[in-house]
Amino acid sequence: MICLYACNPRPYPRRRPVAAAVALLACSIPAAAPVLAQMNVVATTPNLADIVKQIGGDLVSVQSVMRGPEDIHNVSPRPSHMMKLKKAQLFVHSGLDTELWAPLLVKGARNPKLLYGRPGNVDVSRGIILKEVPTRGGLTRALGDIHAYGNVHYTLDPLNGVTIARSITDAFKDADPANADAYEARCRAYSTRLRDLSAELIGNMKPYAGTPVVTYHRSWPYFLDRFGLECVGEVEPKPGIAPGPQHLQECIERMNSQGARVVIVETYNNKSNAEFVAARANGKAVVLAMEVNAIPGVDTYEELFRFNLARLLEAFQALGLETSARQGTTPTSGG
Amino acid sequence: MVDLLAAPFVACLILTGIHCYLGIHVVMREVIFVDLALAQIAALGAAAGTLLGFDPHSHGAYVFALAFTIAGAAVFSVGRFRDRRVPQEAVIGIVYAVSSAFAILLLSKIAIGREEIEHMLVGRLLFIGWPEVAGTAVIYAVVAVVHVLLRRKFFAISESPEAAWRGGLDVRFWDFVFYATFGVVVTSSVQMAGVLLVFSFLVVPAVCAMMFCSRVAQRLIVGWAFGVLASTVGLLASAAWDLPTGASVVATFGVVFAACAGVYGLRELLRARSPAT
Repeated sequence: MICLYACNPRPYPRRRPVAAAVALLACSIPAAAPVLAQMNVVATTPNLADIVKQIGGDLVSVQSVMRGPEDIHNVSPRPSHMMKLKKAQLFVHSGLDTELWAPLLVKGARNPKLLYGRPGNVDVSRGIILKEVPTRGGLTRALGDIHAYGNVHYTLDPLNGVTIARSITDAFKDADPANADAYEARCRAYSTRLRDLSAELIGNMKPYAGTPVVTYHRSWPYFLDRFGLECVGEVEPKPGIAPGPQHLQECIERMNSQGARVVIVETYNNKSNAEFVAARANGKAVVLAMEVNAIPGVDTYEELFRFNLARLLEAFQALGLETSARQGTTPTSGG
Repeated sequence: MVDLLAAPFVACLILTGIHCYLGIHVVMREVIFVDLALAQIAALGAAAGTLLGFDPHSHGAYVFALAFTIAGAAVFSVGRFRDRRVPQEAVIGIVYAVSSAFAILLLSKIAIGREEIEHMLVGRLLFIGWPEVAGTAVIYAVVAVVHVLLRRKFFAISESPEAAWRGGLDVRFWDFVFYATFGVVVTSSVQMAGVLLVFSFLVVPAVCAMMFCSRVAQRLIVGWAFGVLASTVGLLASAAWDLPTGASVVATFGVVFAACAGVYGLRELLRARSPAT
């Protein structure tokens, strides 16, 4: 591919098929042919696919296996995904034990470039500081859908997005060194945008800092920590396990005693169940997007945070949960 | 806790009320799995509605579910052959499998299909609120009135379809009415309690009662008693050990059935011996 660019230094050779063909002939390296087209990338989730798009721009074409609203742990890949993966140069995934269906997909695609450990296999969990890492010895399947390495929903912190963008950029630069500068520049601009977005949204949430909330599944620690909210319980007693009446009672009591009035629910969990719990604490259930495309209107990774924060602020305002107002009634809850 | 379990308990009572009665019909007709097939058709209807843009739990999706169920009732009434060359159970099995497959195909077009199928299986008994209980009670009451008015025809067909044919009854038409009302009940109850629990409510009290009684009124009273017993014990067990509520009621139904079968078997054994002694 270096040879190709020596012959044809234009930034987008695919738009000039004739020149590109001449360049190819001149170089006479047919193996370089795929570089003429965009780099094919398959990402496991829409969040990762959007970050890939932001870094790769016109130079890559990306497809996500997961559609958005479903549970990241339970995606059913279709035959078309395997075909896409067969032709892909890079496979971008969350690593750890997030997408338990991904290894099977990679195996089925029989694309040696994408096998685990090869450069075409991009695990974006590298460099992420994980939360809720289990202590040694205390880990069993009886604890529910628990994760051996820690909580895997790390894309829900926009600053982790910066780390993910870096991993993806490094992989792009290795796979397509000719465009390394373009990737690097985009990565820097995007990281700045994510940092600014994060600061802006933290500012928006300031009046509600420390507001206690309950979540349906244990999906939100990265998100809540970043925006200064506090999780006081989950509707599920253990991740992925349906609650019994005692647990539900405790959860409702804790909401009432700690002044938590919002239940955050994922798009794939039962909203009516969340509303049932919220109603008993005189509050509201709020459906938030965990992925791009999970809810109509959430089209990019940046949009996801804007959308989620707007939904939460709306609910907090409607319930009159401003920290100053709340401190009058419950002085114990920290601001 | 009492506050939390009151609505599910009342829901269990009204589920017992109608399903024990329908269960007696279903067991007599030997169409045990008809409720699974109708529930699956209702789910297919809801899936079709969802695909057309209605929220899975909206009234729009419910109307779709009902329309599909009534179409299913038509299939079951036509699928009863007088000469029994093809048993009705076969038609029910085919409808179940094919409508499940179509539901999967339709739901594969939307991302959360898998979760929806799972929610339908498990139900949400613990999260039932009073408005839902009241709405379901109204629907059941309407169906119950229809069945009280038409009880002679329905029981004549359940007891002996051949005799009913010969007696000049339009068996196909009354079967359609029976399965359509049955489908209305199943569509509502599956949304509330899930497929597993509805199946238990339908079959276990009816079968237990049929072991010990032969007259319809007796069967109904005994079946209701078993249903109330299993619901109460199941909910208490769920409360005491903090177990998922629907599944503990189903498990309790299993225990009640095993106990009844044991008593029945023992009685038969004694009865078989008594002439010899």
